[in-house]
Amino acid sequence: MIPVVLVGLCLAVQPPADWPFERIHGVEYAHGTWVAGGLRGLGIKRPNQPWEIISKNAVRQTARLGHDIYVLYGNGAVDKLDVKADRLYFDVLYERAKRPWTSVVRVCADQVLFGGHGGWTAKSGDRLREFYPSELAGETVTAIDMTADGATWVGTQRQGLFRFKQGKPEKFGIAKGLPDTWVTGLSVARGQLFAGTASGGLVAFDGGQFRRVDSPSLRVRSLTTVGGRLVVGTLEGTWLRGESGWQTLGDEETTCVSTAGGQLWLGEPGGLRRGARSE
Amino acid sequence: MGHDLRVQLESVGFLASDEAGFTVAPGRYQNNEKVFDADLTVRSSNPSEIVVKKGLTYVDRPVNREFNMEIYGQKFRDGYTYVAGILKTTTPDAKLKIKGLHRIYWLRGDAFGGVKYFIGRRKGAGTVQIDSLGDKGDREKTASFRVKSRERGGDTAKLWAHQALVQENWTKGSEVLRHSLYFQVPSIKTALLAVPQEQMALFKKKEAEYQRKKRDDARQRRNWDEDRNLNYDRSSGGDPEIRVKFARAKSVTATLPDGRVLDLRSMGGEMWGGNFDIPAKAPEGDYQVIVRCIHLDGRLSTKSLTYQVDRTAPEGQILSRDGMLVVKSEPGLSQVVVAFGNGKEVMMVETEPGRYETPSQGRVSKILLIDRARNIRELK
Repeated sequence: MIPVVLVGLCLAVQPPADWPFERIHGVEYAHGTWVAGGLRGLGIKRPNQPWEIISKNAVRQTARLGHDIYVLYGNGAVDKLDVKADRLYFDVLYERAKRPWTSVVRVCADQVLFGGHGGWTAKSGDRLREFYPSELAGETVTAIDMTADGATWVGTQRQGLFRFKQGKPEKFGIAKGLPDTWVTGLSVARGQLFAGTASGGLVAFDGGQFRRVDSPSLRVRSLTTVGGRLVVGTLEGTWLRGESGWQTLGDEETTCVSTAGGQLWLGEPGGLRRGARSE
Repeated sequence: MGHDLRVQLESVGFLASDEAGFTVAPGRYQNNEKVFDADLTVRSSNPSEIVVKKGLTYVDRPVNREFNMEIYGQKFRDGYTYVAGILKTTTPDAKLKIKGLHRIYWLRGDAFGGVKYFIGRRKGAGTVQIDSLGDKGDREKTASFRVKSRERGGDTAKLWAHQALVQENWTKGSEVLRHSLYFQVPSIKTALLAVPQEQMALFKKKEAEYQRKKRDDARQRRNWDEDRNLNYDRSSGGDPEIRVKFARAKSVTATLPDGRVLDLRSMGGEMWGGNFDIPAKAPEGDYQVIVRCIHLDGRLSTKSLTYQVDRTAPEGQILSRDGMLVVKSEPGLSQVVVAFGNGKEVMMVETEPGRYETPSQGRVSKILLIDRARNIRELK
């Protein structure tokens, strides 16, 4: 693997010597504690202690806001792990949100967005706001992000992408440049919104519609931005979008792309490995 | 003894009491007729103190006045020695003063006040002294007891804490809670503390597990059809979930196509499940997962699940018939989406196997054929 140095990551911390299981779908680090979620469950490694498996339910995704780590399970439940208080809060949306089934979690600035069935829930501090627009009725939200203009972008599994700006919805489907109806990832890199799709590769928003971007793989599974650069995880590998084009970070199926402990981590079927670190 | 005397007098049924002593009628009357004579005997008192005047018997307070106490102290983890005491006195109305203890609470004693209970606390070993004071505040009787403070424990502390809860004027619920939790005594804020701490921890754990399972089940029910065993029976790679139903199963395993054996977990009821991964580079074809169950009675049973890895995009042909846009392709496609030149986007409907239709809206910009394994073909 080509060593990559990314600007924007904080000082790297010593990673664990091992990981609790293979096929990891999310890794986080906060307050000296590592958290890894994957097909075999959720593991936590406190300082100077071995990994402890605290759930055997398959984890789909993890996201961190401060010392709170949100764990999205395959069954749609979201747990919150407060690593500072060393406390696990079960199913934080249950009996709080109207539709507590979650399919994607995204941290945007100081709020957490939970995409679900027919809409999304935004959690900011203790405040919970729910949005179930008619355009998303019956649809599963598979990607969600916010842009600097305050718009919320919502990717779905069957209807493409929607923008909700000042309460006004606008659909961006195949008629507006999407190559696929299933949006698997959204990320803003250097002010531009990118969308990854399940079988149609990458597209970028040019202000009016989406245009295809040269994509190293058509089967995008995760999209993130590190140090202002786009990192795309696909079924064929992981790439970083540099000034001179795509740079290969891994050539295995990507199960997750996470930044934790000041490092970029690539999840692959065989485990987790470092993709880049700051220096 | 005075104590016995009072019991005996009360049994007669005619008892009055004032500071001078007791007044007893030597018989019971009904309709101004004497029903029976009360044979008043005072076993322990000085007979000279009994005076009969005009048919009434006056009994003075016994001369042999008892005043003694017993106490028991335990040192608690907060450093205080909590002292519980019993005071026996023949002058129940006399004012009492305790030295050597503070934060003292008096408990309800016997019906006559001759036996009094008290509880307080002190720092370390020392002497506890109780003075019985006369009308002018002068000390009439004294009893003392040496507290050794050798024994450690929480029994007397809990007694003290309970009285504090009952007798203090608590204004904040949080203070009641803190006090109750610290001394492990029940209160209106901690009713469940009556359950031992270990049991409470277990109860809470079980409750949390139950709540979690309930929530998981609620979600799983939304995601699963009743008779479906795999949530991806067609795929181009991913991590589908197996869910199978076995009655009275002890353990269930799934043998994956590559030989790996996956232990399935009980998902509640008779359902067992687990996730496995279909490698992204798995070749096309049909794959079989063998699920084996060992039942509680030792019996073995097997189920076979199949999934298909499909990497071939569907082919299609565009036709226009009678104002309808028609696409012919393979049956059972997941989606056929058409974008018209006017910017409209429409999902086409499978009207018969392999035939997808929608009313035409003019020029077709593009059509996407998407199969169940997410393979896409774009028609223009």
